[in-house]
Amino acid sequence: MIRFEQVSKRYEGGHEALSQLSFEVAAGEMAFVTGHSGAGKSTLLKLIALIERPSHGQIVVDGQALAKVGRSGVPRLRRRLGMVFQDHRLLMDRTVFANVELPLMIGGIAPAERSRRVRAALEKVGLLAYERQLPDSLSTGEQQRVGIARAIVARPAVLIADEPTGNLDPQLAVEIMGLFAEFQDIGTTVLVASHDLPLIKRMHKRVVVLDHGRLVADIASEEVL
Amino acid sequence: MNAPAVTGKTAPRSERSHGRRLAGWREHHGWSATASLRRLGARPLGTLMTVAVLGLALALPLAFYLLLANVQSMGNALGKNPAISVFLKADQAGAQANLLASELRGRMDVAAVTIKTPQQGLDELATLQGFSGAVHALDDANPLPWVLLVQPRSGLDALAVNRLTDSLRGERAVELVQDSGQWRQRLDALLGIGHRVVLVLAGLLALGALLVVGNTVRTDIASRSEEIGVLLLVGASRAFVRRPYLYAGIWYGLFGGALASLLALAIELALAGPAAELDRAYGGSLTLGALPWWLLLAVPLMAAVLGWVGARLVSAWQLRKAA
Repeated sequence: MIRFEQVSKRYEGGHEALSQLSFEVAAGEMAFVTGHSGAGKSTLLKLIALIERPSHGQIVVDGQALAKVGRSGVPRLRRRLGMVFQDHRLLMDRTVFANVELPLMIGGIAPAERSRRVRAALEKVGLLAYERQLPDSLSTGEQQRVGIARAIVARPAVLIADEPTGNLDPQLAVEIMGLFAEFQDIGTTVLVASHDLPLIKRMHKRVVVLDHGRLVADIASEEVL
Repeated sequence: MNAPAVTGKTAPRSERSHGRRLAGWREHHGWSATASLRRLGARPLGTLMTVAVLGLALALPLAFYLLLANVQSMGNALGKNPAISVFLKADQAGAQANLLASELRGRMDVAAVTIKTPQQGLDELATLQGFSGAVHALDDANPLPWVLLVQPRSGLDALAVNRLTDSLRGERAVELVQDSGQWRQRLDALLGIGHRVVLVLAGLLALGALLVVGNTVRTDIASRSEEIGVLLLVGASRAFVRRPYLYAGIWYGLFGGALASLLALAIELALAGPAAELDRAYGGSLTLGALPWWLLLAVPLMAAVLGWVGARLVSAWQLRKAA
């Protein structure tokens, strides 16, 4: 579950990225955050991952009030989140397997269990055959799927994605979104920031629309045409 | 999961979680140690340069230490507490020499007094190269005086030895007092300065080694800032991110220290020939020392600690910036 209560974020230069934002994504729900460039989508995700702290208001993620998470608690919180980025953020000098393994290694999972879970995650995204390859040898779409496998391998309660289909062709983009919908089906809360409106409409999920940091529309899944 | 064999009960969840964390922590240490070693091996030239700089920097105080230890050892061999030679006046007979010797033996600051007769002095002179002809030319006349060799009590400081010398000079029967211990005092003073210089040099070069490792690790961290960013984003603690860099610091220090020990051994070997020659010239009475094995082992270990400290300081600062 993700809850924003009157959240504002003002950066040091005075720019207000988010203003009095309140909304809630229920546990096991999938929602899109959309809006034009600079609407505050990325800032919203950064606040969830504690990359940034809000100037005002309260955020609760998976039952945890983020204001109470100190510096030492940030890694623990991030281990409970799965994060997918537009630019994949893969380690190019490590194999696909090693990239996906990272969150489990950080979490102190035993090697045998790690290996089992990494293979399951790679199988889920259709890349098991590529486990020994370096990310450089994969296509952009495949790299994104490695990023998704890494995000879900530790079975996070919440999955957030920042423009995960930004560099992909439409067919691959639909495939990737289909993966996110599958994770929602197994109970994961999924929040995807995207400005790809045709794709969002196609997914028939809830849509939160931002404009200049303000919530301007919150469209339920059944209302999305 | 293995079932407990004895109780038939499973361990409590917190215990299992603690055990799992500990196993993960141990595994990551192993991974960090080998991964950092691989990274060092992946850029051999840079690694060799850093290790060479560290090795040379740490070998320098070792070489000085070796030099000082041998000078000290030579000084010891040539006389820790040389006797004071007291030459009696030419008109003084053996009876006066015996009388003065027994008086001196009663003093608290004198350990022993040896009487050297004029004949013994002449015999000694005859054994010295180039003097035998001169001695024969004297025929039966012996111009040498009675000499008392006064051995000061061990542990006397320079001031007390000077007081004893002055007191001997004041004796009516004494012509000349020769305190051959003065050179030893001067040598000891010089060695004292040398030891202090070695300590200061070792401190400065250790600081230099720390900075070299720190700077190398800083460059390493800067070149891997993207990786660090990813690790932090997927939930790695700073300790987790820092670990491979700390091991890199340890490896740099360990290899640099080992090289320093090897260089010091090479210096020792290079000096072995001339030192043996010097020893022969002194009739084998010199005991020229080698670097103790514990020091040769301690240097790499201390350098590893230095490397760890350098890497720890820099990585803490760099990761704070990255976070």
